[in-house]
Amino acid sequence: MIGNDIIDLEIARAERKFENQRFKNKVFTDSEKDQIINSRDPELCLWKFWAMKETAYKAHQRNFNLPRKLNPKAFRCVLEISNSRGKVSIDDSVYHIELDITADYLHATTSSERVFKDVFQKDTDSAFDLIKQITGNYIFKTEDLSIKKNSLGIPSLVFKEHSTEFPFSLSHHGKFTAFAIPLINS
Amino acid sequence: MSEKEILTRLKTIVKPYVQRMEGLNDFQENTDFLNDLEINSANLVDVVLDVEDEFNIEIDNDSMEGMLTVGDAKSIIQRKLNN
Repeated sequence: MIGNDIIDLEIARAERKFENQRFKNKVFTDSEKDQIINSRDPELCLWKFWAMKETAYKAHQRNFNLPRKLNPKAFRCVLEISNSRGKVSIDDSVYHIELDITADYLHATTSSERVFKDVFQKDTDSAFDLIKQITGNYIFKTEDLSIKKNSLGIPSLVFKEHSTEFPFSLSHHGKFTAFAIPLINS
Repeated sequence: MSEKEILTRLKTIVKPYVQRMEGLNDFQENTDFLNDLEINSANLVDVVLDVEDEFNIEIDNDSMEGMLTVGDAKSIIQRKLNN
């Protein structure tokens, strides 16, 4: 079970969603809206909740092989006081979320295993560049890996020689690309 | 309102959010907002809001849930206009 979401804060902040009441009503529960208003940085708080919802959505969809849906309000978020962790509930499932926040981006991940994750600035959209980024820092060779998506659009990382597929979560926004891979044997 | 007019107005609405412009060349019922036009999901909520304004309708959460293709949007708009 894996999910991740990256937000380019420069783009996100420019959208001024905090001031957009109708957007907030479509996406956030009353309790989330209260927390956003009372936050020291409402715009950032709003995007934290959004990234948490997206991350949990991806993990939940993978978990239960669900068809795609645009139902952000059904994913209910709680932030811990630390503000760098939280929980998202949907139906009978709960997803624990970790948030990595810099001045430029916000990266949310969830995983039931230990996770290997990274954020990088992208020059192009190609899968090859993404794989190069993954392999560049680690032990694999670019030509050994490829990315495959199933009919629901859920991605996996395929190792050619072992013909094994690893679950893998991918996210793009603005100038950033982020991924998360569960370390299954760790 | 004719189907053609709905699709024309819809195309104008989604255009500012499209990240894959080639997807607009072949704008038809099967066109997928996320896969073909690469609209991000936060902006897909903006599309829903713009559709509400343009057609003067209200799209409840149950309808929004299934608005993933141009055809989905067209059916929702038609249903709401006929109510």
